[in-house]
Amino acid sequence: MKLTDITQAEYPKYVGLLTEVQKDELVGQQYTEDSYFNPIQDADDNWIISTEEMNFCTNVDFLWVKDLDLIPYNPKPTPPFPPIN
Amino acid sequence: MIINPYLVQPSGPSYGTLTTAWIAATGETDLTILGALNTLETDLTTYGLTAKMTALYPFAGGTSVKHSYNFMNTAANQLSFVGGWTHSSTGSLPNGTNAYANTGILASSFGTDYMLNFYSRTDSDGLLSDLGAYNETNTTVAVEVLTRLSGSLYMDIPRVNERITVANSDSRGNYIFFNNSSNGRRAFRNSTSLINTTYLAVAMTNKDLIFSDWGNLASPRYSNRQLAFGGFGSNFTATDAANYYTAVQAFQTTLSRQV
Repeated sequence: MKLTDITQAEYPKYVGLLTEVQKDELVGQQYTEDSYFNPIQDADDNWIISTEEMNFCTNVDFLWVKDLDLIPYNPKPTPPFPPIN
Repeated sequence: MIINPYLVQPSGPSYGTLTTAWIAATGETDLTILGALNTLETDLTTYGLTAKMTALYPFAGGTSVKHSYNFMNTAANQLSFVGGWTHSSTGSLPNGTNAYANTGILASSFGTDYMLNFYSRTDSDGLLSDLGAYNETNTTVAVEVLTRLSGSLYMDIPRVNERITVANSDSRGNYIFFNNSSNGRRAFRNSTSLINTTYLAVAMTNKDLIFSDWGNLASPRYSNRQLAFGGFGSNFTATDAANYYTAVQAFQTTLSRQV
């Protein structure tokens, strides 16, 4: 499944799947002015970026992100909010 | 000398120093936005707040570039948006998955006299950091604000044994947090006082203040709440907080995005 196969309302349900090499290429790079890629790992330790980063990418060096395969977003479990002490 | 009146250029609106600099930096031409910014500038002057502000982020103009600029100094502390954001005329919406915005302002630069502000347009309840600064080597002075977690606002500014919790059933609104030796430690949502306690003589961490997360990579708490204003300053009083809210809400009302 690709970005063009889903509606904008479905964006939050999916993320773009990266290889380790692709993740390394994107770290610290801008997808559009004043906006930086932020690859993260999902619950299965896949490297992923958001559909917003894919859709709004205007950096000609990274337009390939628009063609990434989409997978359902499966977030890492959030640690509980810790007590202060 | 005879002047042909048909050759005289009509004069446009005149703007204050900050608004003029904003135009030069952003190329903004929308007269509603420029009028709102100019009124904001006038209000800051009227209320004696200009010298107290380090940075103001109006999130006006609808693009990542325009939303990145600091109104107080367009050459300093431009926001860097990280991860998935959607920018529009109503502000900047983080996706709640991997998005935050770095101010480039060291929290510690304020010492123990600070004012932290953001304006949220989304009502949601969850483990979502609205503002923070995290230092993994000294977590006790980390900063974090969660406006609505299980119906409560959590203020860890900084965390060092000083968490303050108050009931908050709606995460939308203009939030102001200040601390200084003359006026104590206060928090406001819009014009409502949420916290009124004693001055805390502990500086915040020496890491950047960020919006929509708190900077802990091992335990991120990415927010999904739309930002429509942010600001940082010092030497605030309760009267300043009230006046600041009046100015910010007037700005939002002019842009038809007030909550």
